[in-house]
Amino acid sequence: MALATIIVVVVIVAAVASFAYLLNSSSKVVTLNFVYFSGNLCTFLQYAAQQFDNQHPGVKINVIGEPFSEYIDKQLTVLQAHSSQYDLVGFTSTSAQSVSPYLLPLNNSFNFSDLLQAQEFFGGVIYNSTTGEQENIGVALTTAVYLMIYNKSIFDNQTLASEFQQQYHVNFSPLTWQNWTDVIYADQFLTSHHITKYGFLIDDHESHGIIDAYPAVYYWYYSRDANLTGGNPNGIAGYNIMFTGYVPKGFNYPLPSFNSSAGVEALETYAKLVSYEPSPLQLQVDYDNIITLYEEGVSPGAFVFSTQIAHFPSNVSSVTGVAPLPGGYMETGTDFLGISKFSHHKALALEFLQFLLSKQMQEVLYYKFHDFPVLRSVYTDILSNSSLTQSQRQELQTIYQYAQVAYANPPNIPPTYSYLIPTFNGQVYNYLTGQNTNATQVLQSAAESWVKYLG
Amino acid sequence: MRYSLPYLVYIFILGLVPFIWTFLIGLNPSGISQAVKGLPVGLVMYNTIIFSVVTALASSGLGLLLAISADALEGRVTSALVMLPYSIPFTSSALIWGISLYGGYGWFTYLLGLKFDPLNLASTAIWGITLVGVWSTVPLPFLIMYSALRSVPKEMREAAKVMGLSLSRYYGEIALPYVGKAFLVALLLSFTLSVGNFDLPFILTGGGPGFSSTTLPLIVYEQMSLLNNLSGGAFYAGLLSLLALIPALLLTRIVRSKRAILPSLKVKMPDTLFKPLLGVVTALVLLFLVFPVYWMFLVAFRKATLDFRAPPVLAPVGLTSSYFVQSLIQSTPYMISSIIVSVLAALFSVMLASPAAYEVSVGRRRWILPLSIFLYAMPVTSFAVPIYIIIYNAGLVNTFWSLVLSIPIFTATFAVWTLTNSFADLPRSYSEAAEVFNIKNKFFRLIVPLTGPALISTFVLTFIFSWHALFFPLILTDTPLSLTFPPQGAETVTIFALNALGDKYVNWGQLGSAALVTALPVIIINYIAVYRISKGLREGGVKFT
Repeated sequence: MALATIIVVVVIVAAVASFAYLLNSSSKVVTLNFVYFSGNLCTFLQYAAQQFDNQHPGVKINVIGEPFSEYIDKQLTVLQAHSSQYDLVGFTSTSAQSVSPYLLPLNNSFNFSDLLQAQEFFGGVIYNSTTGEQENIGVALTTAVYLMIYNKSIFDNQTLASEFQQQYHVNFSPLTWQNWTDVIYADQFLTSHHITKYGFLIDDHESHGIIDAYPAVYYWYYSRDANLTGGNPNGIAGYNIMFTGYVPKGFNYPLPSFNSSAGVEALETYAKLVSYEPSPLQLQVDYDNIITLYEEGVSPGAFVFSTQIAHFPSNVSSVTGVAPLPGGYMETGTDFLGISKFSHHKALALEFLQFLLSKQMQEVLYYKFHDFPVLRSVYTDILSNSSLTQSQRQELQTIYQYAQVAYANPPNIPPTYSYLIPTFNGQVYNYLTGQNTNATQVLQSAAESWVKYLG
Repeated sequence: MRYSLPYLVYIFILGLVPFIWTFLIGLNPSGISQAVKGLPVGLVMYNTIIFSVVTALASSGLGLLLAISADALEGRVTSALVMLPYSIPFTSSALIWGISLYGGYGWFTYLLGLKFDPLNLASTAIWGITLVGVWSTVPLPFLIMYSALRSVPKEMREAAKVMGLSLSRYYGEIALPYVGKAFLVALLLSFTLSVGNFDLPFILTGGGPGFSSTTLPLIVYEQMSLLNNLSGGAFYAGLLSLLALIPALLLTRIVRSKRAILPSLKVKMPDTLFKPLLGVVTALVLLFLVFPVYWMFLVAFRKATLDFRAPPVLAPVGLTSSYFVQSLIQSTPYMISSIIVSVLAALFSVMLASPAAYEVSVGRRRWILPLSIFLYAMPVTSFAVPIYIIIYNAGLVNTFWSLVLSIPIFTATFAVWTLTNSFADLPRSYSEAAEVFNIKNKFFRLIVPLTGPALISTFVLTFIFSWHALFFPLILTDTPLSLTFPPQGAETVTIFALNALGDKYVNWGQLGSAALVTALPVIIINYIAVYRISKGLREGGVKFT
């Protein structure tokens, strides 16, 4: 009797479930699955998806948020399986070349003319070494740049400003600094006067951060050396400024550029900056702690990504100003959207991408989600809005102006993470910690390792 | 064959087929030569061996010491505290240890007077990772050794008392030789777990400085996931499995022998000295085990600006419950999924593994054991793509079943390993009696009731492993549970715990509180398991002797 009851219950449940399934599958809704990393931008995408659905009856965009630290494992597993589970994927510039084999080239189907090209360049564009052509495999969604933040309450202090000017003959405002020596002067001034415990914080994390911080400094020197740039100060897509801006004869890839006098000067400057923060042997400044350390007030400023600023509490953000890197440029760190080659709804996916990059949604991104747009025309429109506050206007203007010159980028070719970073960072770290005091030798060793691996 | 058939079918479909698919189909020599090019393979092997051997030896030694302490001093609190490292999600505990080792800023370096972070020097990085490896591994050998010590026959304890043996002589001359096999099993399991440990080197150092702390699991991950080089990844995964398999097989032969594994130690110490000495050493070890959890508690209940100070703020000041309350509420759907998946996966693992383990223990199809160890030792990335394809084509993605079917690849193979020893020690007279009396289905009617405690303890261990699973929930689920009809989503708490790690930012308060919330059910399960073991002699605990 009990057995019969169980069988009946199971049959009923199965029947109801089947009915529900059939009901679901018999409706004519086209579902697009979009996987992105959890956070503010994911919330924006979910909002945009809802708007798109409202305008397209019979379509449902499903935005799936994944933990940022693990998203690439998930995406690559699905893409390597050639599965159509995800139609659209989000990825960072670092992961771009891992996912690019599985993404649809967008050169002929997407209009990139209004995009900030520097944002698109580092991660959205890959260099095909066989054809020598550049391909767009992703679209930048926002503007995210590595820049300088500073504590306005220190740098607006007129007493400190005149003393600094007197001593160093340099304007105290970070917005005016023309080279990295000006930053070192500020570090020296503020720490010796015990205004702050440390100088401007800069990433010196051996595992990763050095490959972000060094190019930020190096670009100043690289862009002024025509022997390295070959007239192309932005570098070749994927290789960027740590390699020459041209491919030498007899090679099918550019050669490392940092083992040069420009590279050595940059390393010496970087080391001086690091000397004004905790020793890397003691505590390495990195993503995990730089925001918190700055919040504590131990430094007058820091070199961070614009996405990190969003995490400041209001009492910190209200006194924090943004400035370009000394000399007037930035480094890129934005995220991209791509269409899977295995999607069954490529045309619809493209239409959604175009919707996300429309003026309407880019303005929503700024006003509602407080992130920076990536379309030039949208910046112009927003900046003409008279209701912006002074600090909002200054921040937006700075980002817009210098994000267009955000080419101070590390490489992101496939062996970057597993080989180029450990070999370069390991050598530079030895120099930063005084374990090797010969900057030329350190950079030459790193360059030789890179050539050996890529050759 | 009938007992092991379900297990063999399962590991064939979800273990061997994916393995063959990944490695043989993707094999090409140029991929292997590309994987070896430029990488210091010798250093990577050295790091892997150092990490796994030292972690296994140190954690087993400490586990044994703590087990003796818990047994001798009747320390149920000791037992519960020892299990704490096992309760915390591995990613969260690795991150907390990362900041604990900051030179002068972290509590660990501060208390030891170290001015540098051991993870930041090439000469000490692998040792720093090993330290954290020991911390995270101690609970497993402790549980095994404690169960074994509690299984020493009452008669032997009473005889020792009657003979007037001090505690030190009892443990040195009677208990230790008796539980030698258990120690070896604990050592083996710790070694195998450590060989395949990816999280610690990845999170703590990324393999640096340079390659000074790069281990084989990291290389496998980089080759397969970042470089799309399946052949290269297969090559290193093969090395990794051999590294785990060969000692496991050698030591398994020793376990089957009749001779005592651990020697008798003549330690003559009066109880009035032995007990306090044991207590002091135990307290120091417990400080090492518990302080990181206390630090996690502080991180969870205060603003992050208090986490990065030199000297570190050790006292619980400036506390706020906002992160914890938020995590408690937000974790609910993930918690429900984890409970359902872990219970079902553990049940499924024990049901599959126990009949197969019994067959191996009576000398039939012994090859199942090395095959199980081999599959258990393989990095999860080796199976990922084919398993995903199987689950996806079955329409099970984002359901509980995707995890209940996939997780046992590791938990069932582990269970076969541990249960084989339990069954092997059952007196043969039971089987012979079953034959004489022509009892049908002897395994279910006779063996299972007799080894109930071992099955329960194995269930607890596989529950904990299932609870901590991250990779399969990550690739096989998309959303947290939503209580619609039919219910959808199956993301587990391990995914929830990672939401604190943003793009170039860590929300430390959220990280700490999510880790604590995630740990609560496991802390309860651990306490029940340890209580069960401490209560029972022959009635309770895993018989690892």
